[in-house]
Amino acid sequence: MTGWTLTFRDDAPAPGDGAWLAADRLGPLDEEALSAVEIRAGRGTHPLGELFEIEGEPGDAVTVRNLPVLDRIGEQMAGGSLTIEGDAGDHLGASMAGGHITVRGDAGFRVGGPAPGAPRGMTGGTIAVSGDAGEEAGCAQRRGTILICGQAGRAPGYRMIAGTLAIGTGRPETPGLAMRRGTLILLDPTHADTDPNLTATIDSERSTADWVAGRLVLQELDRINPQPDSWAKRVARWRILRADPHELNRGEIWQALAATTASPA
Amino acid sequence: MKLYAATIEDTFAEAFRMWAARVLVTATSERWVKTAIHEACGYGTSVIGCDAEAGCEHMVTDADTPDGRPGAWLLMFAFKPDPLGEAMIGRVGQALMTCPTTAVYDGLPDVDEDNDDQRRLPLGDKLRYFGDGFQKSKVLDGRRYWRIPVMDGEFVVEESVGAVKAIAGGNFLVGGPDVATALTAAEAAVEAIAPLPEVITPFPGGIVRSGSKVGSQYDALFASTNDAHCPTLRSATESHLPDDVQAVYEIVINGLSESAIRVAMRRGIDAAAKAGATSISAGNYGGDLGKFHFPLHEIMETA
Repeated sequence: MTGWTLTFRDDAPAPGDGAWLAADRLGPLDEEALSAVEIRAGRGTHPLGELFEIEGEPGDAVTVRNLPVLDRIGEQMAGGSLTIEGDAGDHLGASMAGGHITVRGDAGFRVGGPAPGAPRGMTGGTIAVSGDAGEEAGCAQRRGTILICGQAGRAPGYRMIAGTLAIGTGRPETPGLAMRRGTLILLDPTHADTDPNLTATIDSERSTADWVAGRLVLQELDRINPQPDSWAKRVARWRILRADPHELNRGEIWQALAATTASPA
Repeated sequence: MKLYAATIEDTFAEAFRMWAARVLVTATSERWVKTAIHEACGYGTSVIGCDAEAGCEHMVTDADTPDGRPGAWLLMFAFKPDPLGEAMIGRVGQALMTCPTTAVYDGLPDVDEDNDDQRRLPLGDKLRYFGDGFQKSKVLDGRRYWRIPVMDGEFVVEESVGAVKAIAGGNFLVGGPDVATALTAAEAAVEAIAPLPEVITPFPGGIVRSGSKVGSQYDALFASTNDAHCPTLRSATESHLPDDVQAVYEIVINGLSESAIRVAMRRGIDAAAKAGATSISAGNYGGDLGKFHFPLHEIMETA
């Protein structure tokens, strides 16, 4: 995939936020237009070319290096592939509609949640965070897939409307709180039987071998964040819970129950 | 033209425009994939009397399916997209959803409705109502999958399937000195065609014993027995049978493209001749009815 690589200059003022940083808005620009994009940073605005070294060519992909931790990265992004080599701040991918965001670090509050003033979170696309995420990941998520490979803060899937949110490590507090529909996946089996979520009821247990929806979703997680040991091979059995009966009673939580014999990543 | 012991008549097969839809069916084992396909393609030989012409394109291993389970590609043909869609819903709903462990995926996901030669047909979008309100859907990588709760868990079926303009009625006739020889040769032809992509042989075992012609002396029938190729009518009609042919079987091939059908005809004719056929011919209606012609000699001469 062709695109641009932007490396933040050490002596540049930090941008105010990352709402300008979206692959579909920056990727197709030629170098001159990209360099001229105005960004609010420090006490004023600066052309992007002053803040970043630019390499590459127009395309679908934008990779960003040495970036300070910024909020609202990928806000309302609608396509392309954005990679942050480092940490992201709060509201990563807020109200995004398409494309893919990869963060090779941690992310903050409300990954994939609503942009300021918006009633809904992301409506499409995918987000993969290789580290941890803050509270309320997937808040009001309407569609799309989020994978947090590390741990998530309190209440992932808060007010989730639809879509898929997967947490790779640990057992967050109050998962699926006020969830309406959608799927919240807890991939770490080591806490499966501790601290049960009192708002969820158990529907069934399934094995990955005979649960097609589970297999499809795990393959999607592998697609958006390829690893040597695929998620599809790491989970053998699931407990399916119906999340928060106080809402529509249609949200689901998939709790991984047992690892396979394959070695974990 | 001679090929092994077979004389290949200088004639052509005449085929027709139809619409085709394609699905990938998976199940927990090859046994259940075959069961599912067997049921879904049943009573799917000819649109003369069936709602669609259906067949298994080929089996695939778990490495080649979206859910990592064994599967098979299934093709269905009908004259128009809407009746094709109805046939697809009926067959998936009654024969695939009912079959243990199956899932059904769109086999033509790149179909673009802005293209006049392509359509999307609702499938899971209709079948979901069987879930009686308990159904869920999941959108992954732009494709919507309906999850219909059933007694062994969930039946997963994609929301819609793509349909394209295709071709039905590619054919060749395999003749031999007796039933056993002609049938063995026809079986060899079907076996050679089976692994080829984009084609099916929708008749029983891929073979037609009751080939038909257009028209009948009875007003109620628009098709009747192909008397010109019936060995017991040699002296009663204008027979097209060589003297040494006492049995004929027809291989009918439907495909997504002319080139796919041509490849299938060539491989099938070669296999039939090699297996002992003494005569290879083809069915046509004079050339004015069907849009697609497959001349036997030209096909066999193509490398």
